[in-house]
Amino acid sequence: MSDEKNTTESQEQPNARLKQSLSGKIAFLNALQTAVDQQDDRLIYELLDPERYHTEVSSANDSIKSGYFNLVEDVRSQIGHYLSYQLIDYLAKIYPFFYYREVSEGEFKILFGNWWDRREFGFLDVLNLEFQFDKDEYQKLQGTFELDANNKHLNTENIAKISEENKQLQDLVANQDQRDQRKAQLRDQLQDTSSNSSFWESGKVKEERQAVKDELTKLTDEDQKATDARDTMKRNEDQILALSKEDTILSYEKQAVKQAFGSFEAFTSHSKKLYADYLMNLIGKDKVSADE
Amino acid sequence: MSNESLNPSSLTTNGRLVAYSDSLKTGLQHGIEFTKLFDQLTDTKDANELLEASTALFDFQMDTEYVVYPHKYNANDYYLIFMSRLLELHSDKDAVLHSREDNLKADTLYQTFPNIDDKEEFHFEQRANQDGAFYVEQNSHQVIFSLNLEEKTMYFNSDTITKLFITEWSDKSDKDEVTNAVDLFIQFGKYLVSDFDFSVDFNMLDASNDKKYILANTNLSEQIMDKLFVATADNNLMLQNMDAAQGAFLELGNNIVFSLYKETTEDGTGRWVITVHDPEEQYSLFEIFNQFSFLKKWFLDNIDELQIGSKMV
Repeated sequence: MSDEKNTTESQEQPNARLKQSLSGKIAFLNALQTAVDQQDDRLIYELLDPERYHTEVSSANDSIKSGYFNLVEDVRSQIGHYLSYQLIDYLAKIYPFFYYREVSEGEFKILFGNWWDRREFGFLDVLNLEFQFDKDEYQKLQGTFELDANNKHLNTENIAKISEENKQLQDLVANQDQRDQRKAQLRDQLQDTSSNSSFWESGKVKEERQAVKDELTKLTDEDQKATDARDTMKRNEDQILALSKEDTILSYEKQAVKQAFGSFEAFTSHSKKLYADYLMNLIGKDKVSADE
Repeated sequence: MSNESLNPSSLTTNGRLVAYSDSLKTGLQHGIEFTKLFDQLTDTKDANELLEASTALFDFQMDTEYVVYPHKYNANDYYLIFMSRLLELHSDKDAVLHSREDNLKADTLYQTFPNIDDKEEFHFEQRANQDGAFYVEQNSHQVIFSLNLEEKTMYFNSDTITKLFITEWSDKSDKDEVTNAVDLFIQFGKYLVSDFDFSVDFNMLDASNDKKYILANTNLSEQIMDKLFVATADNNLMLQNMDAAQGAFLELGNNIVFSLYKETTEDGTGRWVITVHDPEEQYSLFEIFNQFSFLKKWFLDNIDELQIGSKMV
């Protein structure tokens, strides 16, 4: 009997705990549903990561507890897709040069600019309110800003180097006639030295002959280079075009960032506080609509 | 029976004399027919009568077996007179029609555009096995357009528009003069459409917004667009990415938009087209190249890939 009584008594507590955790989950899901119904994106972000919200935005409301997000883990991408609408509207005002392509539900690629062959610049993490910039592309832009002080582009030197090489190749091709004449001259010289050689002069003659032979070899090498020059020049031109194109893209990016933020540093620091900035913006919106 | 009676060898001497006189009369009558048509060609104020006379004269055989007229115009000359007169009827006379004395026939006729180059002469030529006539620059024989009054067709040749107007003319004349001279051809084509309902392919001279300039080449290298991109940036403009299609567009100011993109035709094949949009429909592709030298340079540097197709064969 006492055992039975004991069991009933001790079962009440686990029941209560279970009820509590279930009601916690239900409350979370209810709150999330209400937030979606009322298009309260701010509340959704708070529900998704209460701790971060309270640290970075506001510590006032601690009724929302952490740890429930895994309940909706399987609809993560749907939530991301849902939240993207208002977020991208907001981003379009602050970062007018970013465009987004939803590559799969809730997953957004960042495109930099609206110009021809704009670069892919990483991903937008809608749920965490973070830009995940592509490292290489980001560094190139950073480098462009650093060079800006010297009025240079990322590829200025490279382009100059390749252009110079092309100029030399052009000369090499243009000088073919001169080379042919010189070779004929040298060959005549070789003939002469071989027919006029005597025992006493042979040491000196040998040296001379060697010098002539060396020059001939050098000229023949140049001939070969000139023959290959067409292909090389075309390849170089292609490379110059690719580099100029990259410089053009980077200078458009630089201009866009300057126009919106003034400097690369301002852009970077802004991008890092997207979470707080965006949520503060949503709070501001709520206030305005509450006041109305 | 009637054939036999015409055979002079079967006639008496007197009959032969009469037949001779009849043949002369027929030949002279034929000449009078000609002068009527010729007067109509040169005097009429009515566009339809003008077309009628020109078409008839183009095929008119003046000589008969018995009467040969030593001074004759070439069939092509009637096309040239037709062109000048049609422009005159519309009080549009920018091309100067000249005549040069010629002992062997009638005068030689040709047109010049003194504001471009008064040494360049233009006239119509005929081509073996091809109907109608071809308006050409005499020295180079470059065909500007083909004209067929019978079939009522006129086709401009993109190749000549590129070589003559966009390259040679714009090198030796200023933009406005070139625009002006080329406008004469455009006006002529427009009168053909409005007066006689001709079918005219203006090709690169067509300024309507829905005109698609179709590239002869179906494949473009990636670099074509990259070159344009870099060139536009050098001119403080920006080549923009097209979202709806594989291609790009360029805002040139004054709401003029130049686009190059790939489109899929009904039979599923792809082709590259250029379009030019402007609110007044004043700009043809030719005019774009005439006005924007960096676009012209890009076009001419890459003409092997960018040449516009032509209806004229």
